Amino acid sequence: MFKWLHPYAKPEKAYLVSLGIFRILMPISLIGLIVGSIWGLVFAPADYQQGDSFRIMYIHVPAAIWSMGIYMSMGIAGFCALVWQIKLMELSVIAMAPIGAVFTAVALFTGALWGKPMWGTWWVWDARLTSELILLFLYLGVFALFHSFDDKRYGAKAACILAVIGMVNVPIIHYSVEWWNTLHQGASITKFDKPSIAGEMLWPLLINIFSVMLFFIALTCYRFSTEVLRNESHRKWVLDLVNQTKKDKQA
Amino acid sequence: MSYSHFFYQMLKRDLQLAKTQKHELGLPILFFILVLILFPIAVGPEGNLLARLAPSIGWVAVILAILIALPRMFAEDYENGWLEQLFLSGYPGSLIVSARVISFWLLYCVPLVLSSFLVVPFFSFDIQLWWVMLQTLLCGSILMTCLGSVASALLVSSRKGSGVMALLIVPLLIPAIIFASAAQEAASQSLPYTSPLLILFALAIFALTIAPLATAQALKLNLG
Repeated sequence: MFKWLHPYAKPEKAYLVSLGIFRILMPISLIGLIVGSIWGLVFAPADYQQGDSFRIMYIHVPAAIWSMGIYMSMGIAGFCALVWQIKLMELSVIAMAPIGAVFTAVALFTGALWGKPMWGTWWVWDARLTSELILLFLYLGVFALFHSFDDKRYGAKAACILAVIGMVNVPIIHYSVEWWNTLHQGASITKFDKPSIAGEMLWPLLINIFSVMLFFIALTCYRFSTEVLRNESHRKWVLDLVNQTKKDKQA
Repeated sequence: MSYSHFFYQMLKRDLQLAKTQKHELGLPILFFILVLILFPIAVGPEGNLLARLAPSIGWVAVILAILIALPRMFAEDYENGWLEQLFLSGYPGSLIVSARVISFWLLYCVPLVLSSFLVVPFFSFDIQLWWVMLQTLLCGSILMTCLGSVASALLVSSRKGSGVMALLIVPLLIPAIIFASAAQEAASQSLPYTSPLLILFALAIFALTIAPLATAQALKLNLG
């Protein structure tokens, strides 16, 4: 497998491949998001208890799930970067951090919007909410640590170490609704059991969750490719690339 | 030198160095006392309310005071080159780091934890409850020092230290505060409080096992 993977560790190859992935996945994920959101927000039946306001979950749930998922993948990438000393892996950690922070912020914001009519409050110090807020600060910490060094290489490595340490927090967030019995409702899809949600409501949600994942991958690939370019700006292949695009524009 | 002898020498050096810089040791404690004084002035001198707030205020003040002290953990040794020599000496990095962590805990955290006794007169706090608070703080301060050693090592060559330091450590400390306040809550209702305390202790032991490895890695990174 490593023989097969090896050529992708070259920056030029990685740049082209990630840009290719971005070009393929971005339209697919956007179509998926539009289909899922319209289906969920317009056509899905209203909930018998919560009425129409439950529909915010079509945005809230995918953002919340992937805010944790991104941290996990960031931690794993950071671990691989530290163990196998792969420079491109470090860049991928940096590429993921702001995206994860935005997802977490979206999850918190939509949660607050939903909480106002349902729980009668924008914010409570509930276990799930608090741990999600901490997750936001972890993302910001990784990003701030990267930017607090003059030497980008040190910054990236330090950010990787922090990403790995912060992984301890992810299971705490996931199980917080079960360990501490608080206001936030328990998991209804991400459990090893039959999902406790009606089919017509479930399908658009699943589509959205899946396309948000694709969206995240596409965005990461894009940010990753720009990071690679910035990192390799002194290399010949970048110069060739720039000249090539200039020529294409003139032609 | 055997490892244990080396470890002992490192501890001895740190304690001897501390003797020559007494003013630096006093600063976090002064800061801690100042934070404690701010609260009764801001909240108002109502005895019952203050007594209920006391354990949480004590914890927050200890965290802030340790945050003040943390950036100095490796900075001096890094600047004068001592750290680089140590890492060249061939002794395992985690051994060097754990000696530093323990000496830091003895020099800064133990006095802070003991000076948390001040909440008893300041906040008309019950002395039995302070005893519980002392135990949670003893476990918690080990955890804080371990996590702080990682952050302090990561930031040792950065010039934008302390703001980022708080951003790195505080989120990771939240579980500790949750269990500490659970123990306090149980103790104040005279229920058994051992289980959250034991979890806190387990967290401290876990951090003490893992953190020196991460810290040594971070320091090696900064030494290039």
